[in-house]
Amino acid sequence: MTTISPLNEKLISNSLNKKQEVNSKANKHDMVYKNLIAESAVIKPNKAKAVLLKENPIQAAVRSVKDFINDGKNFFKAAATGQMDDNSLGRINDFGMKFGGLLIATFLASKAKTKTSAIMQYIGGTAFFASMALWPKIFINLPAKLIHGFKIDQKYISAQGEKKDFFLDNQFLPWDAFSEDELRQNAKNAGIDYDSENGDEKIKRKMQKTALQNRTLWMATAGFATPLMTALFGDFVEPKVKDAVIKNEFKKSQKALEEINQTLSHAKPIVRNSKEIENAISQFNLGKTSYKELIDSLTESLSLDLKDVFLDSDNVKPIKNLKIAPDFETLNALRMEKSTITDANIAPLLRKAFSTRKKTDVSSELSALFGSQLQATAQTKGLSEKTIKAIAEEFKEAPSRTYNTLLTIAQKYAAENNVDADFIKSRMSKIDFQYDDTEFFNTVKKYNSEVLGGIRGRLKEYLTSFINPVMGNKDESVYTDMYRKAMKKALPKGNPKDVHKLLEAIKFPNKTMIDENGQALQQSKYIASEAMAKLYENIANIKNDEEYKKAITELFLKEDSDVAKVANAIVQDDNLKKIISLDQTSPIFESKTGKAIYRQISDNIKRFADVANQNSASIRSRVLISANLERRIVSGEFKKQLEEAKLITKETPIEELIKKARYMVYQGTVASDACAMEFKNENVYQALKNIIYDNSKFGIEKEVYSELDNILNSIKSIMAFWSPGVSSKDSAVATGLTNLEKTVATEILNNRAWKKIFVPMFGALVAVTLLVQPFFGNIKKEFPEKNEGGKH
Amino acid sequence: MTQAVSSIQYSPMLTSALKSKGIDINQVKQNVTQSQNVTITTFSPLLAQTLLAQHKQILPSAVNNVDSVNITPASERVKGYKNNLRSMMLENKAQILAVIPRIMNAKDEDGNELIQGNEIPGNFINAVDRLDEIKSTGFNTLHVLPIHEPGKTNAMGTAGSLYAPKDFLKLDPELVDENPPAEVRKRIEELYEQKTGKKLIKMDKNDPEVVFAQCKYFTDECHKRGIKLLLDLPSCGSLDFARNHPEMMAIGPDGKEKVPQGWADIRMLRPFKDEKTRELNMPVLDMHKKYVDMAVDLGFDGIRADVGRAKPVEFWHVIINYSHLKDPEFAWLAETYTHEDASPQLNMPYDRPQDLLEVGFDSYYGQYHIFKDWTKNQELYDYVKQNIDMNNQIGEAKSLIGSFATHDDSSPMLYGGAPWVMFTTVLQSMLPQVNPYMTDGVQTGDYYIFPYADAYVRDSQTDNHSCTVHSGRMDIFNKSRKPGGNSPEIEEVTKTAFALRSNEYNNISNDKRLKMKNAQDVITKGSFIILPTNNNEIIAFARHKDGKTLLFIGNRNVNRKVGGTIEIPGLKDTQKFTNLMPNYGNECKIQNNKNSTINVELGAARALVFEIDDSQIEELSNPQNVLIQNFIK
Repeated sequence: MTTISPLNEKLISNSLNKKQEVNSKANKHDMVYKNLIAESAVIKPNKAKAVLLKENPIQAAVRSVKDFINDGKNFFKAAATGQMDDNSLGRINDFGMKFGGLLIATFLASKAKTKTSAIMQYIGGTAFFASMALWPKIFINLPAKLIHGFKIDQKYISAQGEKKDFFLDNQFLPWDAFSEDELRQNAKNAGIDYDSENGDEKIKRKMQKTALQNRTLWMATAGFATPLMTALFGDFVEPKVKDAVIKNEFKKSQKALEEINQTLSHAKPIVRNSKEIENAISQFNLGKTSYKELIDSLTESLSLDLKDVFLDSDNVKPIKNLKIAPDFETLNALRMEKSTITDANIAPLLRKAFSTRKKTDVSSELSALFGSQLQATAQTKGLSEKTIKAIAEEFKEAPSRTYNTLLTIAQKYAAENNVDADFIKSRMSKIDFQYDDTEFFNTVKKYNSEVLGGIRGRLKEYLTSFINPVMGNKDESVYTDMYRKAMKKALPKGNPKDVHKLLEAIKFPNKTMIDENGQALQQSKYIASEAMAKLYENIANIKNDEEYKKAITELFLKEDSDVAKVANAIVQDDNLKKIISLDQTSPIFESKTGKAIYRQISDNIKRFADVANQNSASIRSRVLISANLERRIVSGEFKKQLEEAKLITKETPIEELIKKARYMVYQGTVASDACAMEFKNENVYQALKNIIYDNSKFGIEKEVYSELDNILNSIKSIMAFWSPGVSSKDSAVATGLTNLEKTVATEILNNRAWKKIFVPMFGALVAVTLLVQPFFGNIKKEFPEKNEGGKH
Repeated sequence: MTQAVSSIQYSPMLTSALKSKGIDINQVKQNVTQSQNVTITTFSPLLAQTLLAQHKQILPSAVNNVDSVNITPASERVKGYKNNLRSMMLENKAQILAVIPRIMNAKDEDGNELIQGNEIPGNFINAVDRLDEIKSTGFNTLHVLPIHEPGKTNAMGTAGSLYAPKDFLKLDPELVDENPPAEVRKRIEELYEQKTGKKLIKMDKNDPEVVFAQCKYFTDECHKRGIKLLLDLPSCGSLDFARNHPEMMAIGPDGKEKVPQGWADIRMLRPFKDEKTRELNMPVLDMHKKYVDMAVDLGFDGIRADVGRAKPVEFWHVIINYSHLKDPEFAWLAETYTHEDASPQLNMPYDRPQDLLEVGFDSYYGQYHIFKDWTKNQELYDYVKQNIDMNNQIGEAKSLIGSFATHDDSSPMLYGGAPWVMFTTVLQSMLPQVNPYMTDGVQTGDYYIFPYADAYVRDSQTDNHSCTVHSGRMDIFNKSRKPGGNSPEIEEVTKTAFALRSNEYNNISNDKRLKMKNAQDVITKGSFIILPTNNNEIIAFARHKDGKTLLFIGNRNVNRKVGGTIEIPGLKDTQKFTNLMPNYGNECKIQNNKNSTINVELGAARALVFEIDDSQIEELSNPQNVLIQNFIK
């Protein structure tokens, strides 16, 4: 089959119709040819398969995640099959970097000492890749768009459906992906007349050149920019991460409190259980002995040989009929599996064990075994049946007690009735009093050790996880952070060099500072406190009371900071209070073991809580006392007080006293001796202390923090800054403050040193990057402006 | 010719262009049949509709009067000859050999493989001596690489690149034999006289009409043997051409001529006068019109357009349709490979095969030249599917050539020697939508390794004295020796494979008989059924039509034998397997498992073809494995 373009044929026809034109075949062909040319105007190439990718930042982010996953898939597919297209192959590098980065971050995180630094490993890794992506976006692509009016990071979807950078290969640009309108718009934005001669070429060339130059700039700057941006970002983010970690830790600590409550409430069924057991026992009617006593005796028995329970084990023979019922074996089996030891199954089993024998049965059996003997004895020795019955009735008590009671009664009776007591005793010895309750004791013992022990262990664990994030000495505790922030805030904004010296002094409190002439500046002992005093310089200089109050409130007690809120919340915490005020009379703590557990729990909680309170209080009061002291020094009031107390002597000039006062306030530690040692005369020390902590001088501060009143009294009454109830060993928090100062100072110093170098460096890089861009995309050489004719 | 009207197919690109103008093609067709009035005076955007509306009434007489159909100078010269190359290509029936006349039958006396001094290079006359051999191998079409005189400036090689024409409308005088045998001379004189109306006095190669006449002699001799001819149309001009025709040359914004990357000896043409308005550049268009006139006059049956993408669809629309005016069977083969978003070559437009096919090209190169990189059978199947999908999307038959190794590729001998060449030959002869293709010399195992590569020679016809060679490829830069190698077994395999697809199998085979009657139909029009295997180095597919089935099984590994199981739905338990192709290399083993599967052990690069009795294979196969190329009914 052959085909001819129908148009040709029609054109031929047309030619024929106009016969005058059709003189020859060649003419006809020529005419058709001309018509074909005209006809070609309606012929257009097919639309390009490639299209520009238009996406918003969210779509772009989603795409990059998808791309990462696809890269991973392609990577493993390539590893498995050896097949991969060029585009995917090129992208493997991206995947490898990211995947490798993740592994490195994981490794480093595993070595990190704090959670913040572990998280920062990942953030650092992510920030690195983010910087790699953001640097060109923010400092190259965005300015390019603003300056030149088109996107140099334009992406497109290729005919094969792959997403690629339009300018990935500057030599091969799929211009088809741009519609004419889009190009026209770009030209307009770039100030090129699209309809001028070569207008389309101009805009294309401009885009191509700009993209090439900008991408070159990107490559040239990325090596510096990426690490710098990463570090700056990390520096910016780290405190926030730390905050988040602390908050999270605090949340966990709150959860720990919940757990404590739950554990305790979980233990409550024991109380209920005790009633059950008590019921069982009372049913058995061994006496009016409470469960408490029973548990006591059982608990005691744990450390005592059973035979000691009874007066004379040799004489006590087992009462076979009272032997533990077979069901107890089931209980025994059950208790072997910890999980099955629940109140629900223990109670009925115990009940069953004890109620195997009905009261009447026991009585009759006792009567049978014993009563008849007594009866006989009574008959022979004059004991009435009534007496014997009374004795039998008494026997309802616990075996030991029963025996004792019986014996007592019998002996009393014997004495009163002139009966031979020995006879009674010998008769009683024939009674098999002993019953085999070993298993029962063992069960209880095990229950105690496993359940109560478990509770104790868990409580301890919860307390630790509660207390550490809040009041711990660690870097990420709420209080550490509070102090860190306060200190950072308090840093004077004076001469950077002085600030640096100040920080160094705090950082190295025991190092003698050398001045520019190589002279020791101060005694090393006081250097840190002298330096810290500077922190309060600004505040101390505020003369107006209202302003002063405002300043100290803002500085140290600002309630709107999250950490401050958290800190406040701790001491107000209901759960914590509940635990602290745990009722010692709670049935769970009735037993000796229970009491011991209670002691442990309550002691721990109280100690932690004390530390918490005092730590919180001390941080707040410390800054207030410091501010107060410095203000008094500045105003001369302090000097006046010293004079009034006649403390200023030749040996202890005012300067020396101020140093010592500061030392006491700033570097005071748990060991009061450390401060006291500064003074040859104990009285001077006490007098100075009284002046420093003079309650009457803290009016404004107390308005800000009412607890200060108690604290000041406490401080005055004790030598140390802290409560004496807290040993230095237990209260690492207390001693930590001094260390904290050092840590924070170091942190600030490092940060400042780092920023001093890298922030300007980054700034310069940004400046250069931005300033050169307007010069890019110059196409004057390629498209020289035509001389439109000069002057004649 | 009235029948032609109803069977006329509108070019897909025109159809879509009309559609985009909101013109309903069916309505147009209807109008065509109903319209009685004929008046055209303007070429408005509705041109096409208007033209079409006037179609029917005048066409019969028009066609008759214009002699536009099937009456070409070539058919006038050779009695009984009728060009049907376009149909052949569309129906996958062309079996093409790429030849370079200037080396085709060169006589390298001294064995240095370079034709120098008194050695006789290939020419139009001695090329004829090879036609019988080519014909007997089974080729029915020659792709004649450019025969224009190459430019001499900044040239590549001592003879100049074939693709750097000095003048598109003149032929290379070096292809003239000034002393042809008397009988030949006589015929040439006739041809000369027919064209010029003058007697030929001197067989002077510098007389362009002599060159034309000798070329016609060559084309006529081809036609006498039933061999069709595709003339290679270069895409660019030489520097000499550019100097003479600045109006045709593409100039970059920098004011310099555009050079296709990697080809310093040529310059790009400027097809658009104004690229923005897409107004065609008339001098370029006119020259190509004349080129078509020349090609038709010379007796060529079609054109192979070098770098088809170098010109836009508007350009091709005019030129291709114009050629059909002169000869509706004039075939067009585009050198175009695969859809590109951006050209890998500077100054070169992107490759858009579908556009070119839709605007009128009949066949294209495609990507089979990267077959050697496809290590898994699925890659081949995917590519077959991709092409069939495109064919069906276009809506009419379009074909590929078996471009496993073109003159732009290294000799397949370098990849896997004769076994690989035989493997790919059988494979391409069995693939759907493919016209098998080979470069001259490969049919006997030419490695295209030339000892004179980059050698300095004193006698050069260009300004270059260095024998530039793209090692491993056909030499298009120098007067080289006659192509050929030392592997006659390839020729045997080619002959057999081509015979099978031309219904000549039983005529050439002595010991094996093909039962089916029309194997050509099965191969050129049958469905392509992928047969699942458990070894992805085994290529296994069936070709099926009208209940007849041919089976291809091959091992694409050139280094070792492979084994595996192949699923053949509907395979009979009693099916025996007799390889229709000549055996070569290691022995192959086949076992019928009698459960519609066979186990095979195939020697390295072995290609086997079987006739099997499996009329149900198409129905029983997974529909996804059955690919069918749609043809115009």
